[in-house]
Amino acid sequence: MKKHTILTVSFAMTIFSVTAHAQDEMTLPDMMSSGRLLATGGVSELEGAGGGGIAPWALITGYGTDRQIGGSVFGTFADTGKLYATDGGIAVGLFNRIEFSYARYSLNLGNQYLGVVTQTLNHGSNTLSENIEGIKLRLFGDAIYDAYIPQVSAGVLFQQSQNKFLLNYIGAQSTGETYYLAATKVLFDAFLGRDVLVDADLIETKANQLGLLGFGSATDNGYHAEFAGSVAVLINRGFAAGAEYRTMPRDLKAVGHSSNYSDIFLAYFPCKHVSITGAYAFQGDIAPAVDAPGKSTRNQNAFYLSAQLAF
Amino acid sequence: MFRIITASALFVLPSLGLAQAATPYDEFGGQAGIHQVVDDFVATIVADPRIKGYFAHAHIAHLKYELRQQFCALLNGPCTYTGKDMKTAHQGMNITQAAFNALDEDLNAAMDKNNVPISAQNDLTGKLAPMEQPVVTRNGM
Repeated sequence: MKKHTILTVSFAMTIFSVTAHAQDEMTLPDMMSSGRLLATGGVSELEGAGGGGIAPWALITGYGTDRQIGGSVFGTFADTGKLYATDGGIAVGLFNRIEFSYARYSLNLGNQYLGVVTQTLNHGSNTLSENIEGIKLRLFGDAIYDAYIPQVSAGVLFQQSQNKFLLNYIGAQSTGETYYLAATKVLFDAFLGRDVLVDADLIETKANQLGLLGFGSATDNGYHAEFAGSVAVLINRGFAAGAEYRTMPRDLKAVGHSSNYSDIFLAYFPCKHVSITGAYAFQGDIAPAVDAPGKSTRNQNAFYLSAQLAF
Repeated sequence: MFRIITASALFVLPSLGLAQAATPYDEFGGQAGIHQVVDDFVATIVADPRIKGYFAHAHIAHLKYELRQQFCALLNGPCTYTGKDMKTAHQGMNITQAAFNALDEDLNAAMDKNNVPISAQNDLTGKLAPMEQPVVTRNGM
């Protein structure tokens, strides 16, 4: 489906639902009063969707119930000691049904810049960045209230990678879409008396390094089925700790071997309006074949800090 | 080697047994504990500006009686809930998800105040969560 078709359909659904809700005679403050439970909006993942850190979840961002709207803004910083990533975005959730998101994700290569950027183009840029627009629709289920079925959502990410010089050189497209199906469930009293959130995603994508290195390659322009999963233990009210994993397409031969992502994290929700997530992320090899001479983007492990404001 | 395994089994098994013996009902402090939590819980919800409207005409003593019985039964205590089913009990009240969750937050506060262990809290809220379905009035979205 084309981007404008998806956006038109979702816009029509939004208008329909807003009209349907007008008769509820709810005031705007009521509609923005964060009626969902603490932490049930998740945090913001790298692509801007409501989720964990590297996996989109089926949860709709923010704290809006089926009669409310919610939203979030976030900023993320990750530092490997050699490279650092900055990420920020905004998202809204309507009636706990549809989520729209926008994020800008950048990777600064520091002095590990990819060789081709400076050698062949003298472009001078040592930053890879992309814009990501996302839409997510909750299909069925509720992660909290449904006893036996998970909450299931489908989403699309429309991605635009910025460094065209490099993308041309390595033979990747500069735009791409990523499609995902996410299932999320909260299991009560499941592990040492704690509630546990479990998420599993099926992802169809061409994105190299989440799109920072573009989409597909000169020899392979097909979609790849990838997997992402998260487990989070709600240690105490306000604290969640867990781990995530996400597989990545590996067929962009021009940049060499690229790795799957994983992370371990601790998130703190002092109230519904603020969350802070610290993580240690294992991003593996970024683009070893086009590293600058004597430099390396291999085996990158990052300290990751993310803050989110939400309602 | 075998002796070590036997010794560790002797060490581990009784502690597993103890862990199983403390039921959520016991962790709540039995009837007395449930009584106190329900008193604090109801005092909070009738004063909570988000939801107190729902209780304006409620018979508070009867509400507490039903909640004690229901919590006790849900926690596998020696009680049977004899009140109305959740759908019937909340029919026509136009209860929103936000109101349902506000009530849950007030219950958490009451359990915290009475030092109910987190596992027992999660056991109870996990059994209350599926009641959102019959309690809350859908909005059709």
